Amino acid sequence: MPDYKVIGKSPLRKDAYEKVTGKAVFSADIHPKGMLYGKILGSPYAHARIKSIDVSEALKLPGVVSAITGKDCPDARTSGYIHDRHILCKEIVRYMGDPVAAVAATSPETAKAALELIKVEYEELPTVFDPEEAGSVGCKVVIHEGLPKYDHIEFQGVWSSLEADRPNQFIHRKIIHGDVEKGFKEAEYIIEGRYELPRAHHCALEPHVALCVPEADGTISLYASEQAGMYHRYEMAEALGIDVSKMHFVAPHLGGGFGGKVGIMVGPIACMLAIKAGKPVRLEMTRDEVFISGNPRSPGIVYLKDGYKKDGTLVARQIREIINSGAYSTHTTVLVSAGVYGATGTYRCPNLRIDATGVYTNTPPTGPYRSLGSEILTFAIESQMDKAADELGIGKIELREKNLLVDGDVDPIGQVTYDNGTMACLKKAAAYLDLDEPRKPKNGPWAYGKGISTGNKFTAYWDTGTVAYCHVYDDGYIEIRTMHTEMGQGATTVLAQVAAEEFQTSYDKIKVVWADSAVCPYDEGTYCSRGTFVNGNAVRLACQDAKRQLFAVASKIMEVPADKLATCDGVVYEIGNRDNFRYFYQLFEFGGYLREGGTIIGKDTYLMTFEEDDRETGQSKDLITFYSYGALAFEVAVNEETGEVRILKSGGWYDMGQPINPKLVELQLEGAMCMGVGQALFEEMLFNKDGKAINANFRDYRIPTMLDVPKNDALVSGFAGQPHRMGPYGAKGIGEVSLVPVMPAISNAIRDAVGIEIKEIPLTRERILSAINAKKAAEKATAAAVEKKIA
Amino acid sequence: MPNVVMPKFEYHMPENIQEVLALLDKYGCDAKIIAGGTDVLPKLKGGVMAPAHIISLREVKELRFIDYDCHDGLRFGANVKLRELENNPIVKSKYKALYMGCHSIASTQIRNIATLVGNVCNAVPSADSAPALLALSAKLKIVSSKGERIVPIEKFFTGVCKTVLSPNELVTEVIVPEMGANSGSYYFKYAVRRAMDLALVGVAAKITVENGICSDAKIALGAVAITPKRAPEAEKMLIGQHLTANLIEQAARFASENECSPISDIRASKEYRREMVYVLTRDAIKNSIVA
Amino acid sequence: MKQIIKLNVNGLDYEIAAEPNETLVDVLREDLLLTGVKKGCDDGDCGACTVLVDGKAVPSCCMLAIDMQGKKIVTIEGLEKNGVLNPVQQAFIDQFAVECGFCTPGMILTSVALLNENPDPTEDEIRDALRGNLCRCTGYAKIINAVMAAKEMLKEQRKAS
Repeated sequence: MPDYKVIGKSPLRKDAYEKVTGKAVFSADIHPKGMLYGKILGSPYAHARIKSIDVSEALKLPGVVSAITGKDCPDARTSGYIHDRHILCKEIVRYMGDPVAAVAATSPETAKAALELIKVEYEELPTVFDPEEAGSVGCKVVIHEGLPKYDHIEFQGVWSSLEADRPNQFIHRKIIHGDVEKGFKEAEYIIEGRYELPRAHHCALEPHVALCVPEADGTISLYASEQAGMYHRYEMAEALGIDVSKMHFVAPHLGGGFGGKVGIMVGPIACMLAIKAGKPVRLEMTRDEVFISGNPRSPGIVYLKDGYKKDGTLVARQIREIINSGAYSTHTTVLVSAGVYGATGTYRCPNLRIDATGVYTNTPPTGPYRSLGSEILTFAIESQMDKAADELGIGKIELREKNLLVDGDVDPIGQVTYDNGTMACLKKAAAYLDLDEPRKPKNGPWAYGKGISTGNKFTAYWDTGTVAYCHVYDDGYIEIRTMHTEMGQGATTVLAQVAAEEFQTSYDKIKVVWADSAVCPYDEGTYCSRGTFVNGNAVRLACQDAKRQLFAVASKIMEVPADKLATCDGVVYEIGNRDNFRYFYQLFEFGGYLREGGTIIGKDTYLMTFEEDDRETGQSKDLITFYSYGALAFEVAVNEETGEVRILKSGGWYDMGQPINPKLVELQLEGAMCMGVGQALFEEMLFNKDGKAINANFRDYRIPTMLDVPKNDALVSGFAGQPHRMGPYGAKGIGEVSLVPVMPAISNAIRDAVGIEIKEIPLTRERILSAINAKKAAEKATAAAVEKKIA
Repeated sequence: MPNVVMPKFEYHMPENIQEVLALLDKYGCDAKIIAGGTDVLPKLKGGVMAPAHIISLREVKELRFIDYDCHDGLRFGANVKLRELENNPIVKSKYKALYMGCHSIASTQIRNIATLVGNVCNAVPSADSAPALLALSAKLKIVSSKGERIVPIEKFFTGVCKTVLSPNELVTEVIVPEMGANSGSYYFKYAVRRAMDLALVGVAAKITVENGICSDAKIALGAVAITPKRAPEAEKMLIGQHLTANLIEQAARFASENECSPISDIRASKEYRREMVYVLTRDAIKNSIVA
Repeated sequence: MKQIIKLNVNGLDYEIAAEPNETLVDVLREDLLLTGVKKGCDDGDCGACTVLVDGKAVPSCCMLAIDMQGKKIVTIEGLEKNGVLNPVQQAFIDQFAVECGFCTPGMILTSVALLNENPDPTEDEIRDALRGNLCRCTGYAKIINAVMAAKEMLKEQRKAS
């Protein structure tokens, strides 16, 4: 990688001081005068009709200032690509916890007491919880009767894929490459499996929260823990029936996002309560509300069929995927339509067909979670590849290397692969794993195993544009303004580094103003690993625009042509004649203004180019701007008496182009690995037969503690790749790819240790022990049969 | 926490045991004692209970002591925090099962304010303090304005979250007899996660081996019956015997098959719990044998 | 019925009108506006609300404010003195042990209490002491590094004085 002034170095985070002192402001820390506390009343039934709703008693309670129901909400449905949701339910409730009313009061206790006084009469309706049943032809329980008439945003065939005889299926996404039937006929070995991932929750430590402040000038200000504020500002303004310019949106620090805070439900509800009350309203979800209504990751079922030649060449792959979106589609539409790239970004396959569907069920709505569905398909693919390798008698690394896409290959969506570092990552991970080393002997009940997985995560695809501003000040400071949201990943730090590199100046001279719609230009949202790439590029372009303006001004004063000027450390100088320079302040009047042109504010749009993909086949020559790639290896110990899994070693190598801040990238790798361990071993949301979430708390839904993850010396991570030709200084995203290979790598390691195959996440101790016992029983039965035969 | 209204109550801060007892006499069933409050407060917030009176023990200095002597053993007051117990050198070195039971609970933060007596009085079947106390033959001193009584721990629990305590009674101290020579103890907590978890199964043991023969064995099981309990038949299998690996396995298997009644819940199935009783009992016995 | 309760927080005495059933975390955040104290679950399960009471790390969501009268309460806001960060705070910055920052105040305070009690903890002891502080962002590795670095800084400070 090239040697830069600031890029590739690890200056301390811009926001570290405020976070270690408690001064960093999160949405629930803002306390305007006269603020009220909001609370939501959720439905006690998973599917019911609201016969009547009456808030009059609640309004009589002293301290209650406003109360709203579906009747107060606009008729237009909103949210996501298919507009299937009202701000509060009007007629039908579709999951246990579906919001039917909300109140705002002078204290949280009063608001809670008010909820108890709201009278709602329901008529229960039949329910469907199982996604395969819900998605079946002629399913009797229909969750969205009006689906064919809903407003929608056309996106990758979202609309045209509705099938009249599957009333709960809202999207059917296809990728068709080559001829999969022909491929299977050519195959010399076929393997199939059914894989299942549960509903998992992001568990960002900060609960979802929104504060809406009605301003004196008739506008409203919304402060919210929301990843895609600018986009949702438009959605919310439309839903509320107000001009977009009358809504000021600010995202303060987010206490974690991970994809769970895209289009948060509390935003529009807080706005409605505040507008009605004429006072600020803070609406903060309780932890169990976050688990239920905070858009956990969609559960997925994958039917995978692979066909290989005897030499290990993959010739056909067929995937059928059923994604359970719960009661509303939210952003599951994207998870379904784009999660397929998890299956097309890594391996060459001349004949591939994917049918990915999204279905409604009477469970809480779900959505993307740090890799947008790529992890669901990768779990199936990488688990099955290991088994295929064993049955073909080919090494696990060898089978993968044989089929990896390399630069110049055409991938299964028809795009030519370039800047693909998977091979380099896989080699490093394989070397770390040292599969040639003799297997460690069992130690008491502990058996040892090693497992590996590759992973990819696409980003920045389809129609996406981002703008940044760059204001150059007379004292040498550069101020960047962008809607890029800081949720811990280091958005502000990284963009400051990009600007510092552009201006060849000190990182300390860069100020970043972020996520405030009053002063920041458009960015769609901080998700999908797009942040650094699109915002970084937008910042570069804005800086370049600012430099053009700067040099135009300096050119007149210095009497040097503008193209002979450069800048560093707060001066403009003549290239080749360093002694001829001016400090920035010498280019401005006192007070920092220009005699002509006002000030220096650079601005530009970074726009992705793309070729729209075919509606039917999903093929396109230029759709995905980049994939990040990686490979992860685990060594585990499995206790054959209890099913406990201990992670002994973990090594991951990732191609994310040029790391802008290597330390921050390490944090993403380490954090995602830990998150993946939780998903792999413990995490699943559970429901009872009535659709009630029964483990919506941190005790019964377990995320890893410090004792559940490998110790520091067992954790290795690194980079292996090339700068990306279109990334800002060659950078790509890293936030998600590091999670993608974790579950299959652990599953493969467990399989290597104890010879069992588990196709269901999480790999709980009980599941592992059952599988071990079943294997032992089968081996016993086989041995007995053999003995009988011999006898 | 769900959106439940936190009940209102009157808060009392008595300064000695007599004042506590007077309050209990006055308010009885309408009162709840808090020492740490880490069980009571979540229940109040969750709408599980709504006492009209909360009696805080924070000022009752008589309840904050840890004493040890080699005749009477260990005695500690009801308001001794779990962290204080686990950091006590005598508890750490002599009463290993008790140390391990305390240390396995929740987090440093919770253990800084929570008390062992609170854990015992909460009386959930998975209480981590209980198996150790059972294996170590602990006794509780219970006082009221009418007098006092000593209750062995195995008589204390009567059901899920139920004990022999009357509303006007207060547990003031725990008495754990001297360990005795050639005795060791151990507690295994088995949970889904390695921290911050309720026990799926908890097993404590105390074993005394003299001249190669087991002269005393106590095995106590948690989270696998409606109360924490001993496994007396398994214990009898060991007493008077030479503790071979085979015998230990047999006793552990017997305890798992005959002396517990685990249930299936969101954490685990009863079959799995039963199997873990075998593994943990075997290992608790092995680890309690003093070389 | 609200009562006047007296709390000593970060070295200052406050009189606050609060109901007996109000938790310490709510009084600190909403009455004293010490919003550095975070509320992650309100149930004692995440450690984000950790404050120090008489030097010990405690879960402020599991404590009644009224029960804390007469104790010395320290929140994250009380660590920096005269513009000088506590070594644990400095170490968290230097070691990149911060991402979203929500677990950070609780994590730092628990670490401060740990190093006061045990000035030379091993990695295992650190992990055990901090096991009640959940972090979803960092994977914990750099937090361990920060506590280790802080312990060395404190050793140096003790040597120097």
